Amino acid sequence: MSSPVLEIRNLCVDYGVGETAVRAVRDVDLTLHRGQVLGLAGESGSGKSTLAYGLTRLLPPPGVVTGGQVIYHPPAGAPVDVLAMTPAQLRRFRWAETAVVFQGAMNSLNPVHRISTQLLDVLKAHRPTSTAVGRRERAQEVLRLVGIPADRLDAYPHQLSGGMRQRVMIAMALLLEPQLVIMDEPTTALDVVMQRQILGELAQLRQRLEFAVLFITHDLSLLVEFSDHIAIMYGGRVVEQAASDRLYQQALHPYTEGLLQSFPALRGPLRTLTGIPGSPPDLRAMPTGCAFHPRCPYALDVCRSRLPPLGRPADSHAGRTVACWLHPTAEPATETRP
Amino acid sequence: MAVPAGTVDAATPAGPATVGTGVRHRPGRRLPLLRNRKAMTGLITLGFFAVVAVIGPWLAPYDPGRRSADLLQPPSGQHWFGTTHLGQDIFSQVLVGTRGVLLVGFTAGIVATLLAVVVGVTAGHLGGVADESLSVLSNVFLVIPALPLIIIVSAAIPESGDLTIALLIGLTSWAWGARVLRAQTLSLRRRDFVEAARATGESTWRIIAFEVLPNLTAVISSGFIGTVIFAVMSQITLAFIGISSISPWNWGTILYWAQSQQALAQGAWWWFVPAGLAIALLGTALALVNFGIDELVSPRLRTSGSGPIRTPDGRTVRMRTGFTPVLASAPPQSRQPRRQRRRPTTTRRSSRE
Repeated sequence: MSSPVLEIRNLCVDYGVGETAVRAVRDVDLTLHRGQVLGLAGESGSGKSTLAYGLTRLLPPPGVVTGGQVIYHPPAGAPVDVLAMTPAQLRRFRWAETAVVFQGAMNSLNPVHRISTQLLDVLKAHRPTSTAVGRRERAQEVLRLVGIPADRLDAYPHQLSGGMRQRVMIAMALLLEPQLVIMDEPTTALDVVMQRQILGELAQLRQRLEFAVLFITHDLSLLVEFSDHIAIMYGGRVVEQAASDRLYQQALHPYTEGLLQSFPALRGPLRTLTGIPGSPPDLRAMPTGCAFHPRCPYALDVCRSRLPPLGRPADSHAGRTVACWLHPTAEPATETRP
Repeated sequence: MAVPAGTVDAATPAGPATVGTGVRHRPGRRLPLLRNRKAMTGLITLGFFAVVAVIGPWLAPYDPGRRSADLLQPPSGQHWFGTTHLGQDIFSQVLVGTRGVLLVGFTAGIVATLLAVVVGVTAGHLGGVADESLSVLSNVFLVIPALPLIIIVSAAIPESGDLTIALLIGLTSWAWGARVLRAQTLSLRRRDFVEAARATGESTWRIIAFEVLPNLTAVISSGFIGTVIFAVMSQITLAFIGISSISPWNWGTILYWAQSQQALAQGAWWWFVPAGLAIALLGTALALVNFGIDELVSPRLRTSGSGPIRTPDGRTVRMRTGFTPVLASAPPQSRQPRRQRRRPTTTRRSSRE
């Protein structure tokens, strides 16, 4: 594995302060390596978007980061803690080092300005020394990167299709050659064909430009195909983390298993789609012990009382972790399953 | 960079999983206006004036117009706010005068708001010829100088009582509200939920009443409060310069007599200070309610619950969009603090069992 670009350590995010605070993200540890795609999956309300906005410190009030560290490793120079940055430092850090493609990104373009205006504006703000010709060339270059003819630069957003607008947003994120791109369900508003096309291009771009991607989605099938590593979130915690092919072949956490069984495989033997019974937990009144135990088909007594730690299961390969009493970190995991 | 509102919703799912345990119901959750301290202060003051308006004439110790031998007395136990040059009790005058002020203020406010809603929303929603003609109408009323018109009309009507004044003020001050509401409606009628209502075949009036109007509540109510302030001020101005009839008491009449009898030159401060204070207090109360409504509507102005937060290590941070505050940053090497931080959650859980 190459060097890390972003290390999230014990990140906790709350909504509100004091007694009524809702703990949306708790003790999340994740490491994102250079050029890697880390997928973050989970149901609505599992805290995946909150995690992404918390680590970039983009959460609107009443969101607060209540603890942890987010260490960013620039290509050259000492690592910095994003959570310790001043607003001025954050402004410089954003977009140039970390870019975000938001949920429903295609509506993020201002309808009254040409695309060129919006692209060049970014360059003007972050690279004040660049020339007008240089800026324009760079804008054309990124548009070509995402598969839009450079002559569309002077189009208005309404003159482009949804897929093209989405590409423009991705181009915009890549404009300043960030080391890390956070994508929060960037393709949910698009049809599956366009989704595939854009993600395919993104995968190529990533190999060419070597930026890391934190990819947030509830569509696990998309992640299995597209990302190198997958972290599954449930109730504000990471419950399983593994390389995507390994996660697909053998899911250890019952929740991951449930997610994987809620979409059909294209090849291989037919299996029944079961899905997961029940609904996500209320963050204001979390179940005791493992948050998943009320919905878990394999729940043991210990699940009700004690929170399983996230660790490497004893029987498994390095580089994967799971938080489940079925796969305790010390003992082999096979015999407990009925 | 706008963060979509969905992210906040995503963190607090309300589903069948919502169990009643541990969910605290804060007071005033249903009526957020009551939780707002500014609005609450304003409403209490307003309520006080309303009570005085209703029972003031009975509370008044003297007939406000009756003369007595105590000429131009400073405040005393007998005459709380002192007396006029004719020996009239000023406290009674202020008490009796409250009803007229509030009556004119709120009647004018209601008339103007009703006209503004009808004209503005109709113009904005219907468009076309209706919009054109209604816009012309409100533009005309916009340029009519209200106060001179009221002076002329009230001079032409021989016995112009409170109601006449109220109607005159209401009829001349709706145009701004109508323009604002028209602009808001123009943007609302293109929204998806209105289009959807139209597509499902809802009638125009139902769309206006059930889809558009609820979204305008805040604009309407703050417009109403603004008009009430304007009406109170206009009425007092009219009474002060002696245009409206001076026989019914209101705060403006008191000021009119104080001014015409040179209260300031005579050093009779008690003559104009109580009425002046009452006007200022009523204006402040209405303005506070207005602020409260504004904050309720635009969460950006909302300060409640997001004041400075004190972090465990003694720093003070503020909620700010785009720069999420960090309350504590744990050193990564030591695993110990992590355990410690977890402990409070586990104790809370066990206490619930």
